[in-house]
Amino acid sequence: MTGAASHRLAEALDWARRLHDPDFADWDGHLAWLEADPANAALFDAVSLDLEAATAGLAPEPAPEPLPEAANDNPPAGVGRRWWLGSALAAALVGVIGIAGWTFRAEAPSSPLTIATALGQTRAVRLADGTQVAMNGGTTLHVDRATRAVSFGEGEAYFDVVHDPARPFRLQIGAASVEDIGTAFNVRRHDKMIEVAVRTGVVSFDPDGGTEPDDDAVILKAGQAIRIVDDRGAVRRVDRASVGGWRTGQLSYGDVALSEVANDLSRAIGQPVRLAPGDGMRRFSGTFKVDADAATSVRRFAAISGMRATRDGAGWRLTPEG
Amino acid sequence: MRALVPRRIVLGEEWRVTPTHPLAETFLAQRPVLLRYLRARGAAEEAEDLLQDLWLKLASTSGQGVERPESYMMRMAHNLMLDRARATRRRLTRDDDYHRDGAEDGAAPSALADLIARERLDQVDRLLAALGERTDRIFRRHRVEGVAQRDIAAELGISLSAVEKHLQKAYRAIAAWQRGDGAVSGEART
Repeated sequence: MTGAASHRLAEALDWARRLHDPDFADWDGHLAWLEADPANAALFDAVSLDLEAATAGLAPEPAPEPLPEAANDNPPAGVGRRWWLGSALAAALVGVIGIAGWTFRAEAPSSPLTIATALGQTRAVRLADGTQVAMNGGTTLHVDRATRAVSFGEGEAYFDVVHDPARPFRLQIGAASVEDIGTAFNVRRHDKMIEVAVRTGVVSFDPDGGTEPDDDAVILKAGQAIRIVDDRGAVRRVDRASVGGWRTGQLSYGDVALSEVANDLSRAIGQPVRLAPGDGMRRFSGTFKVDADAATSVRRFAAISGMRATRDGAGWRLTPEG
Repeated sequence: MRALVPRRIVLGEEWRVTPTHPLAETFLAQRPVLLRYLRARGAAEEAEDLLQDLWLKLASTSGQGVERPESYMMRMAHNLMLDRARATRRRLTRDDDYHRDGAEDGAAPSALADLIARERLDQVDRLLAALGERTDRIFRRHRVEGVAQRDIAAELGISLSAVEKHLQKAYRAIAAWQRGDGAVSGEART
């Protein structure tokens, strides 16, 4: 690379870094740089997208295993950890909220790491064991720092697990638990409903988390889903390809309450979708698409569910058509 | 499905801006600079359409509680241009993949793609680790968690320019790695 090209690249990278800051305000400076050379815009787009591609799914913390050291200026791991702990504590006190819409707190090494997404926002997270998690909006996960155990707060997430027979991946969902036997699966939890659907592989679902000696665990294969409401569960068949379909904006349902769909829709668009209690009991089957355009997404759902969507404050209200 | 939203309501040369929206006045005042920005980002003759998309997006929000509306609108213009570039790149990649991997179910990432993603993350982890733990953590705090650089500096009790130097080091290392060559040089402005 020539000196000039390398310098231009460094400038473009610097603008990408500056614009990534939630406080960025120097739009005049950015505009002047873009207008200084017509090639700058394409270079800026390229480095911005390259950075996105390189860092998608990057963990919030450095890799836990000591990696081969190519540089000799690394502080010993212990020093680094203590250094960060103090600052994380300061961050927790001021309640740092990332621009990406999820919070990260680390009060003490024993407290779990909480990863949460706001309504309407999704997040890809990689856990220490390599498991990839796609988090839907309004979702909370807790990761124990010491044991790496993961527990599911609420919301919806899709897990793609790297199977390690020596250390099976285990997910606590309230009283229940799921253990993988090499798999990708989706979890939804809302109020008293828990649903686990398997896309590939096999999971073992234990409604009491294995605390009771009776062997009540259920083996779920790809294309099966279990749904528990108030301690009553049922296994049904699902279309494998539709499991975790929310990641591409595809929501699929087979005979569920309309209130449940409205809840998922709220999570996806980040705006409340309300129904009269009686209407929430209606049943719904079908598939529809949600995207960044909240109004179109709500109308799409209204159109196939026989409802009419009207604006209701910051959200929407669905009423029966006609 | 886009058809549900009227593409363009023509009122003379202007399309309609709901005058009662709390941000309408700022938007109209900002219109020239937004257009100039969209053009500088390469929107060419689509700049007007993109500006309308921007207004429709803005109008679909309540418009309440926006702290710096001018900056907010510029950010929206930036996001629109980045979305456009992202869509173009995805289309090019898809066309490319189609010839190699035609049978793949479009919605599902293939096992191969997963493997490549994991390999990529391992390499980025290794690359960041090689820059030193402090740079590694500052980069993740900024890039993954989106914490403002000023706030990171305050947390660590170091200067803003020190944080910027750590970040520049990480950004350049990643760019150099992606381009498969040596260091990215130059004192860029901060």
